[in-house]
Amino acid sequence: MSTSTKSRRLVALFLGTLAASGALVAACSNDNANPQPTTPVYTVDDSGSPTPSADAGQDAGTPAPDDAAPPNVDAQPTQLDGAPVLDAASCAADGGCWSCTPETTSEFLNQCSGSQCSPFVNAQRLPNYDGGLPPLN
Amino acid sequence: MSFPRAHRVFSAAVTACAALAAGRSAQASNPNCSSLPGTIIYGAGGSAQQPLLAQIGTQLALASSPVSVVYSDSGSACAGYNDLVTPTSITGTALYWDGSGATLTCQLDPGGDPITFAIMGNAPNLCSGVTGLAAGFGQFLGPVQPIDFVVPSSSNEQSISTEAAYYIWGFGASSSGNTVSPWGTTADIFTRSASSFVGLFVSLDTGVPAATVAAHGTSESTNSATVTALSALNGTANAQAGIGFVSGEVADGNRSSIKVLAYQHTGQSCGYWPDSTIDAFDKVNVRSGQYWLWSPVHFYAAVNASNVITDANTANFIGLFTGTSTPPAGVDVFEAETGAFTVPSCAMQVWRNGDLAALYSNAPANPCSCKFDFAENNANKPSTCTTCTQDSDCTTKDCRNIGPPLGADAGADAGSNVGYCEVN
Repeated sequence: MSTSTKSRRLVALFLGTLAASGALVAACSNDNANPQPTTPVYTVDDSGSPTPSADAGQDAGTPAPDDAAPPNVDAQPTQLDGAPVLDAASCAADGGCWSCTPETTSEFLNQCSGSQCSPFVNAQRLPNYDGGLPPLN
Repeated sequence: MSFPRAHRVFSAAVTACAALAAGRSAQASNPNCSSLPGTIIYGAGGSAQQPLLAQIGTQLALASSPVSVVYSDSGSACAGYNDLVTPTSITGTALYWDGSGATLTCQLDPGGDPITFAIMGNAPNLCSGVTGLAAGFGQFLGPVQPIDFVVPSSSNEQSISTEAAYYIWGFGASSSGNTVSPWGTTADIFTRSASSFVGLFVSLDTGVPAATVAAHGTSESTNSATVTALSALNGTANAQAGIGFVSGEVADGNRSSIKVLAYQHTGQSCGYWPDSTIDAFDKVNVRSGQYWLWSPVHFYAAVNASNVITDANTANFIGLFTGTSTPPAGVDVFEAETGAFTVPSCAMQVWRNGDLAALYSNAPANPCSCKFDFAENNANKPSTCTTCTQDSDCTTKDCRNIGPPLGADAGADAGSNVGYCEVN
């Protein structure tokens, strides 16, 4: 498990985000802006951490969340402890990870959890990467 | 869990080594497959699911009425499926399992042996030239397996993204200006054929055509061969350059020599392992939907108009995984599935309707998530997940054990054996 403290992660996120993109808001929607080195390991919990917001985009290879009718999802968003959420936007407001009960693919992928994670910073490691994929030869 | 984790990893590695050695031994020393003990069922398919077959095959060989599972993974996922539906008899040698846990090799009939089941990780429509499930055949889903990007255990790398995989297997290492450090050597990038489950899934995930994925890197014939090739890089100057992809079943049985990378899917800003940590085996992120690359094991067999498997022995075998047949005494399917590093479907909190399809919440009728957490030593299991002997022991109100030895609801069999507090 990460040894980084919450505050340390947040500071790293903030500074790194500025360095990578100059746009803090991008940290919640675009992993190009993720400035973290490739080797650290983090825990993405609901206390606040460098994860994208729930409206982070998916590429064309990711099926639309509505492709399959989920039989067991709640119609009303709830927090992970089961409490109802009146404003769904607040589910992603604190740390960036999705803190309510996930219902869509994007929410499942970005849910708050106690798991370790290790970022792969596309903007730093992929040649000529501008957020889109170059066509194959 | 009856097997300590380290023992299971060691056993899996021994089994893999034995398979490699036995498969290449002189055919004259192999018994005829048709002479194996008890009921014999023949199947074919991918190498990704070989660990699951090894687990269940070993248990069935020890049953009072033994069943010998004979399996050919010499082709690929799609080749095995095509052998079933064409149909085409398998020839040469095949794998089987006795009660020792070792993977052994037997000699098929010179005229070939027809198969009654096929296994792969993907649906048929991913196979080249196949538009859907063949008429007269049924698809049955088993436990869940992740697909893992892997590197030599001595590699310093920790994670990979969808986009990086697109570059690596889309352009190849020889494409000037499109290499991803440190994976810039064709000889050390490993790939699979366009008819293998894992190759097809990397293609589906990245959008790179399967033939292109297969063309970029050193092609290996099986999941185990990829592990062997990556393992060989440990201790060499090229260890950092090594990368490949294998099923989680095969990867987890070889963690002493390869490392599973965290995977960052498009739309995520951090890569996740299938498990809660790089060292765990709890498959927390597969079960919760935070790890994108997973698929249930797909079984295929001939069926009647009611979608009932027509061959009784095959129905009994596949039914072990779907719950439609009762395991023989001494056969523990949960143990077999976890022993193969798969996730029983009853422990999945998400599900999907198709290969890499959208995720949705899943509430199994007979859940085993708590039992799985105990089996895999999940350090962060829910506080409500405790052992129990009756429903009233549980804040969840449901003391269960999918068995054996208990039935689906341990609360109805209070006091006789341990159960687990499941959510429903």
